[in-house]
Amino acid sequence: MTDHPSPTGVRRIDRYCDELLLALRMKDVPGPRIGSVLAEVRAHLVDSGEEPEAAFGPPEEYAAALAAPAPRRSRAARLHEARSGAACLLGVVWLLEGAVSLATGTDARLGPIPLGAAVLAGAGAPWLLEQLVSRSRGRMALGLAVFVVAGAAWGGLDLLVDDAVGLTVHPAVAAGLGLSTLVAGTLAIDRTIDVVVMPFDSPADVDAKRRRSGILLTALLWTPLLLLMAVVVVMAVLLGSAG
Amino acid sequence: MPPTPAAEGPWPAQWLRGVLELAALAVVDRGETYGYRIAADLEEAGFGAVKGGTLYPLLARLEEDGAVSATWRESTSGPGRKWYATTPAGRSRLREQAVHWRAFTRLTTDLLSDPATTGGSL
Repeated sequence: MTDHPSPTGVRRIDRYCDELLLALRMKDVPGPRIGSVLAEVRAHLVDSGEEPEAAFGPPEEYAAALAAPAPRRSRAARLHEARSGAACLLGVVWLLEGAVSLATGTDARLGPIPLGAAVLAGAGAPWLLEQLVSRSRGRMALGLAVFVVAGAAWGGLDLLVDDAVGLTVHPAVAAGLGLSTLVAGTLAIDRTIDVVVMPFDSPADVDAKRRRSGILLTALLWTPLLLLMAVVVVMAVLLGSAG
Repeated sequence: MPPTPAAEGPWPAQWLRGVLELAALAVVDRGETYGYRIAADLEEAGFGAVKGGTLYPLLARLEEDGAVSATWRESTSGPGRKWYATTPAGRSRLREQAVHWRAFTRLTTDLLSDPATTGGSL
C-alpha cells in the first residue's frame, strides 16, 4: 500500500476520473452511482499506487463493464420533461413575437398555430436528445425529419390561419408572458438535474452542486436563445425600415 | 511417479472468470474489508493479481444481488473507502456454492485422474 500519490500521479488519476465520468454519463448511469464509482477508483489507485489504465483499463471499457442497462424512465418523469421542453419553446416563441413587435412598433399576435407547434416541438425535444445520447441515428434522423416537416407546415398554417384567429396583444404582454413561461420551463428542467454525488457529500454540498449545474444549464440553454432572438429582432427592424 | 505440476498460476483466464465471484465472496466473508484489500487477499491466496477493472464490477454485482452490503467510511490515514460485508443471503449463497464447487472439482479431479482420460500420465 502506498502513502500519497505524487502530484503527477494525482493529475493522472484526475484525468482518468474525468474521462470515466464522461463515459458513465454517456451511458446514462445515475449521478450517485457515478460518484461512488469515482470514489472507489480513486481509493484503489491511491492504495495500490497502480497506473489508472493498468488497473481499470480504458475509461470507456470500464464504464461499459459497470453500466447496467438504463432503467426506463417513469411516465411521470417523461411527462415532466415534455412539459418543461414545451414551456421553454413556447416561452421563446412568445418572447420573440413580443421582441419583434416591440422593435417594429406593431401589435403582437399570439396565434394557436405557433402555440401548438411550440408545444409539440418542445415536448419532443427531450426525446430527440435521448436518441442523440443513445446514438440511435435512425430514430434521430426520423425525429429531425418530422421536426423539419412540422416546421414547414407551421409556417404555412401560420400565414393562412393565424391572421384570422390569433389574439392581438400589446408587445410587452407577449414578451412578459414569453419570459415568464421560459423561466418556468428552465426552472422545471433545473429541478431534474442528476448531479454526481460523492459518498461523503453532505446535503448542503449536493444542493450547492445542483445550484451550480442549474446555473450552467440555464446559461447553456439561454445563450443561443438570446443570440437567436437578437438576430431575429435586428432582421425584423432592418426589413421593416427597408420596406 | 506422477509429474509435479508446474509453478502455480497464472491460471487460465476462463477458470478465473468462473470462480472469482465465489472467491471474492469467500474473502469478504472472513470479515469486513474493502476493494484493494480483497484484491491483495486474492493474490495472496494464489489467484494472481486481480485488476480493479475486474474486481469492482464483480463486487457491484454481488452488492446488487444482496450477497454483500457496502458502507462508505472516511479514513484518517488515506482515502475514504467502501467497506464490504457478507449479508445472511450472501453467507447462505457461499455455503451452497461451496458445496457445489467441491462436488464439481471432485468430478473434474476424478475425470482427470482416470487413466483412460489422461493416457495414464497423471
